[in-house]
Order: sequence, then structure tokens, then C-alpha cells
Amino acid sequence: MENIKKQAYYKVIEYISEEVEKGAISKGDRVPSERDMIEILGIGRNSIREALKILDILGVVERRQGDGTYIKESFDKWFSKPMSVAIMLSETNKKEIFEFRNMIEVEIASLAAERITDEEINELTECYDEMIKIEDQEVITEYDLKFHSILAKASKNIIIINSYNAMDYMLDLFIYDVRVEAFNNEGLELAARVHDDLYKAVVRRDTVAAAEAMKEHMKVVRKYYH
Amino acid sequence: MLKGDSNKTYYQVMEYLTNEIRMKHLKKGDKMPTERELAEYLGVSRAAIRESYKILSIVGLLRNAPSQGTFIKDEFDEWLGEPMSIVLKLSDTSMRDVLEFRRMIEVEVATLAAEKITDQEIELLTDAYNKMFSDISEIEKAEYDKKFHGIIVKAARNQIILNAYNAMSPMLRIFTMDIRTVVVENEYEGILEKLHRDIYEAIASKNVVKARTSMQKHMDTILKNYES
Repeated sequence: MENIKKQAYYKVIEYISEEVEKGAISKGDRVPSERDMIEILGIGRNSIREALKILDILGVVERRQGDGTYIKESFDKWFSKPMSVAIMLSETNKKEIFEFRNMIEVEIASLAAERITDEEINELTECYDEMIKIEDQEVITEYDLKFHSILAKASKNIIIINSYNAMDYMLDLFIYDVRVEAFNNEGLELAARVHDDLYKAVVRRDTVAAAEAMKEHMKVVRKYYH
Repeated sequence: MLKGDSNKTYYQVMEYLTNEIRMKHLKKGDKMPTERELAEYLGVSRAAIRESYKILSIVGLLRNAPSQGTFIKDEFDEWLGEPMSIVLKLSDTSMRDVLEFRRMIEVEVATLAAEKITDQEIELLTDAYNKMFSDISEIEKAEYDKKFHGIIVKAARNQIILNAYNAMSPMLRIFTMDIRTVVVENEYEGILEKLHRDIYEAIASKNVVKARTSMQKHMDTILKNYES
């Protein structure tokens, strides 16, 4: 740790951090110019560029071609990139991925039931109504994903939302067609069956019932996680 | 992405890494190609690869071993904390968010650990538990507290959850708060011992349900004392 702090790139990261703390830089803002930072920090151009690259790969800033570097507008996916590589490298298996997903989804259900806004309830209702009406498996899948991401957003916990988004990568890796198999075996009404209790519990803001309903939903998912 | 755009080589290296892992050509602890090899393969300069390796090492994915080369790390337990703190500030992440995240993980690992813990790990847990409440300084006690929770996380045997737990540590540090002191001040003197004893006994006796409820209680106590 001590070592890191002496590095030139670290001074840049620290400087940006302080500017954010002071409120001098905010979401979507352009980061201070290279020239300014060279002057203020007394370090070379290369160190500044290096620092901005680090912040870019960690999802803090975004480097626009020919237009400089900006602080990101949204941080829904900030630690998902390096984290997802770390997860891919962990000697993990489907059981672990399921345990992780189960943990996050159940927590999301409970927090969402507590914090969902009226506007989000409308969004969820619209999504749910469409999902159970449609008879095209691919479209159902889209609404299914949307349903879960509305819940994630409604949890209002940015770290949990990030973990949820980091999961996309893992699911891609291991679970190709849980849904296809599940629908083939149980029919398209499965979508209504696994989401019905969950939807109702969240809408009436019952945290315990929402968590229970999500656990039941995850049991069905588990059945097709081979 | 433009090939040969040396400004974005680190993305190419990341993509290369992801693909190689996906195809099982690379795994953790493995040596990365030399700068020259990868530069040729990706059609970029050696300097760009050198810089990318450095960036990915700082971030916490790779490690450089002088005169041996660049390796994929074995364990991802050291993430750079400062960028995280920038995001926490910008996204209005509160202490509550971090503690809720911690509660989610701790409750789950307590449950899994009660199921999977080995005898050897029970011994380690017993040792940490006893030392936590022995006649030592508060700083040492806090260390054993951390160790106690660390043993439980490992005993849960889930690499993904362990990764999430490790990613959380810098966030907890950022808020630099002394959970132990606050809880004792707001509650009563023996609260920490009571909370940890319940967790310890449940996990050591492999009682899954009690492990879950006692950890839930521990974490709820922390959250309650930070909400006010």
C-alpha cells in the first residue's frame, strides 16, 4: 500500500478523488486537462495518461476518441469488467454460480419490495403483463430479463446492482440455455408461474414474501442448471 | 476497436485474456505471453503491451515477476481501493449500501460454511474466537474479528462469493469506521461476544439454520447502529 502511494499514477487518481470530494468534478464532467495536472502535480504526461487508462478500465472514466476523458455518467457496471475476469479465472463451477445468483436475487427481491417506487411498480406491472401474455419464447425471455433488472434497480443499492450486472458475464459462460430447456419441459406458462407470487409480493411491498417467492423461483432455475 | 490503436491496447489485451480463459488456454497463475509475442499477435507495439501489462497489474489482475515475466494472479484479493472510492462518492453510495452488501454476503457464507466447514477449519475458527475475547488490546481483537469472518468466508467454498467479499474490503476501509466501538457504545458491553458466540457455536456444530439467523442478527445489529 505504502509503495503504491508513491507512484505517479496514484497521485493523479488521488487528485481526481479529491476534486470529486470537493464537488469540483461530477458525473459526466471532463477530467482536468493534462496540462493542468502536469502543472499542479508536477508529474509527467505519461503518468497522467497511465492513470486515466487505469480509471478507464475500472469503469470510472471514459476516454472519447479525439475528445478527451470524461467521468462516467452511470456506474451500474463499474466493477464488472475486472471482476468478471477474476470470476472467470476462479476455479468455479455451476453450483457456485448458482449459489451466488441465488444470494443476489433473493436479496434484491427483499430490498426491492422495501424500496420500489410507484413509478417502478408501473414499469414492473407493464413488464409482467406483457410477459404472461406473449407466446413467443424469445420475447418472453426479453421481458423476463427486464423484469429482473427492474427489481435490481428498485433495490437502490449500487453495489448490489453492480454484482448483479457482473453476473451477466458468468451466466454467458456457463448457462447457455437454461430457459430453453425449462420452457420446453414445462411450457411457456412457466414464466407466469415463477413470477406471479414474486410480482404480487413486491407490489404489495412485502419483503419476507418477496424473498420467499424469489427462493421458489430460484428452485425452478436450479432444476435446469446442469 | 481499431487494430493498432495503441491508446486502447489494454482493451485488446483484456479481450485476449478473456478469450484465452474461455478457451481454457489460460488459467490463474499462468504466465502471460512475452511482450514481443503478444505484440506480434495483436499487431501493436511492444511498448503498448508493456504499458497494458502494467495497467492490468495495477488494477489487480496480473502480476509482474522481475526477470520471469508477467503472470495472471493466483488470488484476486487486492483491488485498487482509490478508484472505488471515486465511484462510491460519485454514485452517492452510502455506508448503508456497503453494509447491506456485506450482510448479504456474510449471511450466505455463514449458511454455506455451516454445511461445508472442515474439522481443520473448525479448529482455526475456535482459535480465532477464543483469541478475540482473550485479554489483548482492542486492535488485536479487531484483527481476530476480521480473521474469524475470513475463516467463515473461506469455509463456504465459493470462489465467486469470495471474490465479491474481497472486492468489498477496500469499500469498508474507505468509510474508515470502527464498527466494533460504535456497536459496543450503542448496545452493551458484552454484545460482540454474544453475537460471535452464537455464530461460532452454530457453525462449529454445523447447524445451518442457526448459522444463518445468528449471522443475520450480527449484521442487522451493525446496520441498525449505522442507520441512526
